Amino acid sequence: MSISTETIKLEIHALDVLSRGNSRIHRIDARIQLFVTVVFVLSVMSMSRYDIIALFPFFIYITAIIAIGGLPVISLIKKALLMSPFAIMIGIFNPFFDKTPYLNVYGLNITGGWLSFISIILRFFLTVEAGLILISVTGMYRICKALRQLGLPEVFVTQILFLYRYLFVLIEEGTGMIRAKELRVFNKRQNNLKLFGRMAGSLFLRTFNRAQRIYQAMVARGYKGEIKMLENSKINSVDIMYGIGWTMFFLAVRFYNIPVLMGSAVLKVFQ
Amino acid sequence: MSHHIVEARNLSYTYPDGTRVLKDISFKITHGESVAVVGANGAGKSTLLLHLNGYLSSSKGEVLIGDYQINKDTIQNIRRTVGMVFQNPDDQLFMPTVFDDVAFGPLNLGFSKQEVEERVNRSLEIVGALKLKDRPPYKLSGGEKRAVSIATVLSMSPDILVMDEPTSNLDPKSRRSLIGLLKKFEHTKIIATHDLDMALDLCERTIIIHEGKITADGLTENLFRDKELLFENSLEIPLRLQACPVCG
Repeated sequence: MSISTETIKLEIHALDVLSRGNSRIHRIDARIQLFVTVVFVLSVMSMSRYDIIALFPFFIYITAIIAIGGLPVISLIKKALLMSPFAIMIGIFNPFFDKTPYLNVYGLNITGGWLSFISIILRFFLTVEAGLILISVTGMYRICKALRQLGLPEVFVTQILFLYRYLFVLIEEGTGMIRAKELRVFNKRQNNLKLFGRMAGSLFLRTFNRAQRIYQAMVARGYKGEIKMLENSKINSVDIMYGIGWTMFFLAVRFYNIPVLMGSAVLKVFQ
Repeated sequence: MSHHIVEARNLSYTYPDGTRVLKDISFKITHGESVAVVGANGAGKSTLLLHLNGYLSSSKGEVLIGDYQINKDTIQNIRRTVGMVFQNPDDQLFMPTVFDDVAFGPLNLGFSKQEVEERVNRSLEIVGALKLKDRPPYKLSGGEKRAVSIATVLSMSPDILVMDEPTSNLDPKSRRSLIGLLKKFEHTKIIATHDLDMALDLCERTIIIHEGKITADGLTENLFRDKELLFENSLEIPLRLQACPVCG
């Protein structure tokens, strides 16, 4: 396994630590942050497929939050790079299929395929960073609370909460099983799919048993189908301003090509 | 105070697959008593404990907590009265931080925000884990996890503490400090364990279970000296009561 349990533990812990910071961004209500992130992602995703320049203003949001929240830039970029193969795989064939020349820069034809490929990479980067930033400044727990307050059904919120809590308990259990197997497989041919299937099945059963034990522990402490959470934070005027401000900015960037408008405005001044 | 009595009357339990785990179990535990429940693996200890807070309910026999029989109307009250600490702290600690976990019970009981915070702080203080308040559970050591697990139950101010293998997987120092902690509690305690030395330290009375039946119920000191009885129940004399292997 290339990514060890320890690394994952450390990564999750690092995000947890970040989310306990106390910058102005951290103090914004989680519901508002969630809302801003959703608007951001929707705006970025709905840009037209050849847009590149028009995407740049979105970086202002990412940069601003990283700067004010005091988030580690390098580690955030690294995390996005870790995910980048998915985006590259999605876009990689565009340059081969879409060969309509789109731009001509000093005799060099740039096809629509390349433009859309770059656009996909940029959009991937923007949205992944937005998600990472949300978790870094809000923390999984507050996000779950916010989701609950915004009316997401209890079942889903509990799912997310528990997925987050038990993620590496599960990974640990899985690696333990793999290790036990590796130590007793001497013939590469024994290492087959059938064995893997059986192990996955037994991991599932173990998970099932654990779920039952956790449920016992919850019921023993008065659980009645709803996880009650303390601290019903109130949305104040600063939060609302923050939400409205960013929403308007995103919509402006979405519907007007701001860099181009700025460019032509500058040109007009000089004419 | 009759309120703290735990009584089982002719309790039998059969798992849905037909395995009979408990057979005609009867006992009475009075206020302030500490009782060890010992027996081989699979003897039915954990199943018995799950009956004490009404998680499992039996086809035959009944459990009384105080003067109440466990049923739908009394169950919430009984779950507050009977604090149950499970064997694996990773099952017991399911919330994102220690604070939220300890607050889980009191919040379900419907206390005010201030009351909940007070209870959390008090319980963490008792187990000496106040400084761990904001930590996520996966950053705790085994001993710390166990202490916090106990705090999650204390915050509901139970009268009866039921524990399943509290000393399992602990290093000797953590085990020792846990025993010290439990000694200080004045609750009625019911502890299922294989750690007979711990039972000797904490419980004046012991119930031995073998294949779902009570085979002995009496003073811990007396039972743990009875070599034959222990052997028949897949147990052995605790090290402390054994003759010294060096000096004979």
